Amino acid sequence: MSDSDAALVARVVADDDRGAFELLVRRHQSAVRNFLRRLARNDVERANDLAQETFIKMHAGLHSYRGAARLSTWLFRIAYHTFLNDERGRRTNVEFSEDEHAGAEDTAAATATTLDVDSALERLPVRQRAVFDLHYKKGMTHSEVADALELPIGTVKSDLKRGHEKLKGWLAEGVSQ
Amino acid sequence: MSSDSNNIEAALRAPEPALADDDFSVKVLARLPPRRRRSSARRWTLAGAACLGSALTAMFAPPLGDALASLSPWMIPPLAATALAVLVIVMLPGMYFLYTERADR
Repeated sequence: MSDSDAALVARVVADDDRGAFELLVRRHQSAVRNFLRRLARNDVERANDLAQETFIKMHAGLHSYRGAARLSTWLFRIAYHTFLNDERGRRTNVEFSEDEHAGAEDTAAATATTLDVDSALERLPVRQRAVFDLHYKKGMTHSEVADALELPIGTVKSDLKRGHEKLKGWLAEGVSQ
Repeated sequence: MSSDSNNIEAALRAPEPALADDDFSVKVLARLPPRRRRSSARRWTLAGAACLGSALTAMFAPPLGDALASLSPWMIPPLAATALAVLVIVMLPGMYFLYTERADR
């Protein structure tokens, strides 16, 4: 039987056990990299760099992890903030506001002529992309998504509702704006 | 729920591909800071140091106390000189381990 996340975390915290940490990375790397790929609109290299940074931050902060949330929830929170920080750094000439960014549709990905659901998802603002990915691809409940992204649960629900409406509209049009 | 909504829902719930590790974890491990010493090793080191300190104290404290008392220009009672010697003997390894612990962080 494989060790639980909690057992592996305990080994890392007690003895800085690198073998246990490697198991944690191997166990969660696919989900974190897929999540960051979604946020980075399939920029694989950027997503991998941010995923590495996420796991390094996780290692540095494991002693403060109390186990109140699932390890994966905590890990997605680190990944999301790592992405937002990187995004802010890339937008040094444009004032970055998470709220504005969450409300405004992204047009950078709107170059395809035909949209499938995945490419339509890329057009959603970053916060909605994160909410959709965690809820649908990672199977998290509304409250788990709210916990991971540090958002009110109402915001998560309204992001899902509004995102659905947008996706439906875009897919019905079949052509990007 | 309309069929459009159902289709979207089904597409959204389609499982994502599992990404192979492909040395990803190796790269993460290579970027970690140097490893801390094992805390169990630290515990044994401290226990050993305490035993060594006690043995040294038992062996050298009385003669060292006498020597300090004879060297001092002031009249120091032998008991105080012994206590001072014990303090010095115990503090030296203590300071050493404190320093190495700090450097290890």
